[in-house]
Amino acid sequence: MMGRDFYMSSKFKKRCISWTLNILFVLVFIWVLFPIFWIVMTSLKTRIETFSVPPVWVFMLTLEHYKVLFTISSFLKSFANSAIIALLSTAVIVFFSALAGYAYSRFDFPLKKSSAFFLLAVRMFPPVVIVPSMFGISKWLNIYDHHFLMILLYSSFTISFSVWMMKAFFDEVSIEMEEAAMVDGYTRMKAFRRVVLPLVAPGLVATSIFTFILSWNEFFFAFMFTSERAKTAPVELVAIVLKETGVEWGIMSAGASLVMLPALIFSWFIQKHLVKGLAVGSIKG
Amino acid sequence: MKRPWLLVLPSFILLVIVLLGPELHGVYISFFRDKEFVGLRNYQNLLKEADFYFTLWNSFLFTFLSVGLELVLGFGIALLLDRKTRGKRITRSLAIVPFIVTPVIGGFAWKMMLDTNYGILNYFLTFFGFPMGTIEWLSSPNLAMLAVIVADAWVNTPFVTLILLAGLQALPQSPYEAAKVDGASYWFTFKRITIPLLMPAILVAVIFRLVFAFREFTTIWVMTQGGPLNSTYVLAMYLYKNMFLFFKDNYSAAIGVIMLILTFLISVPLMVKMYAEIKS
Repeated sequence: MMGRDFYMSSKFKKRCISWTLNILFVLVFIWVLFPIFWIVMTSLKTRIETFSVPPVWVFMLTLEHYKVLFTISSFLKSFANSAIIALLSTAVIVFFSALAGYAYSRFDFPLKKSSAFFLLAVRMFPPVVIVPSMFGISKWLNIYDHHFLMILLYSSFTISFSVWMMKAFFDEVSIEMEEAAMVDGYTRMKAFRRVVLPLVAPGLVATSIFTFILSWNEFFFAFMFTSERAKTAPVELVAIVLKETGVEWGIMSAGASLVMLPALIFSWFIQKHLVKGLAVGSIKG
Repeated sequence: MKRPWLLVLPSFILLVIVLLGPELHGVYISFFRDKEFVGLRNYQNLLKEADFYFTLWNSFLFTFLSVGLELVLGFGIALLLDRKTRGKRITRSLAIVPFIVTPVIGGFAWKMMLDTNYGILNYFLTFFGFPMGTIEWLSSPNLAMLAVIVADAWVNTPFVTLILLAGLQALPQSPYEAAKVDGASYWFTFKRITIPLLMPAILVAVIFRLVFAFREFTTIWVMTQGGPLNSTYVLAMYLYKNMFLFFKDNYSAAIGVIMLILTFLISVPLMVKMYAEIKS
């Protein structure tokens, strides 16, 4: 049976290690997902239950907090604003980055390498720096607290990454495709539209969802540059969170759940591309 | 195609108008005071302000501690995930959830969990002998910084994990096989093979994180708004307050320039490397 030798054997050691690793894995799992789980749970509890200590784990689900949120017009409006800004930013980005990515992938032109470097280097500078200047400029141009300003800002924040992503996707489409089409009489741009674009459709989808998530969740600039007209969902959420001095956990959790919903849903779709993009980016340096 | 650079032009115009222009303009106005040229006066005033040193210190503390934590955690998780052969897609997509959900939600989640009287963390600590209401995570100057660091680590560790995981999975097998033949222990192979080979990925992850942690605003704002007693007051907030509460745009511009310089110093190694890689 199990003699002393068993406990000294490497088989036992391997089992122990494997068990510890599994436990660690579960702990990591909990660490990563618990806060989200907690928010959603809290949003579905009754108000009393949100305060109970010890916390309630099994309870009747209630949508009362969500109902309250839907009556707050500023909250609904902020969602609409976020949607408009995020969608339009995404449209702009996809258009610009597809063109630029294609150019970087297929052509050679003067300043190609320096411009590519510039595109990445710009990302390194803290956007904070533009705040004092942008405040004055936006007021002067009368676009302060306007969707247009936010769209401009978010587009420029994500363009570097998007161009790089699109370039990588275009690189994967072999150039023979366009060449074959051009032999058949297509112009370059027509070949681009009819032949190449459909092939990078997954890349376009990934880029647009990535941009959408970033624009939807952005807080810092929305906080500073939006007020009555263009306030976005995260800003409104934070206003609610900070106003109530930590009392209305149910409502705040419901708000948070709604705000994080679009990002989570979309990310589920592109998680494959997201990981690949990050991996490619990191290995390339 | 006759003029391919035309395709790239829109993106560049966008960047120049929205980012580069205002950045340069910001540097420009930092030398002024309400349209009047004052040279380095704003910077001199900056160096006289106690708040500046406060925020500088807090920013550095926050940046290095949270990135350190993220590196350790991220590395550990990456090593763990590297072994998993089943359900890779699912684990990976779940692992990046904190990242997708972003600082706003992360800040709120931790704010709620760390609540002194009703937070779930304090509830767990009651089992260790700390009654509810005794540990004030977000109201005591000493603990607040720690709380904010942990929350930020929660949000950003996935970023580090993904980069390191990608690096791990791209590692060549041969050094490991050779080491095994030579009978090397796990720690030895880890120290002498894994870490050196992974250095590029580690550097990328660390420098990116340093740059982003240095300008962090959102998570901290949601959790403590810079308090209590300015213990979590960071540079980005200092700029925000001077700009939007005191309307000192010239002074804020100077703060921005300082942040720019510091960020530049941190990211120079990476930029040099990126430039070299692009050239090749």
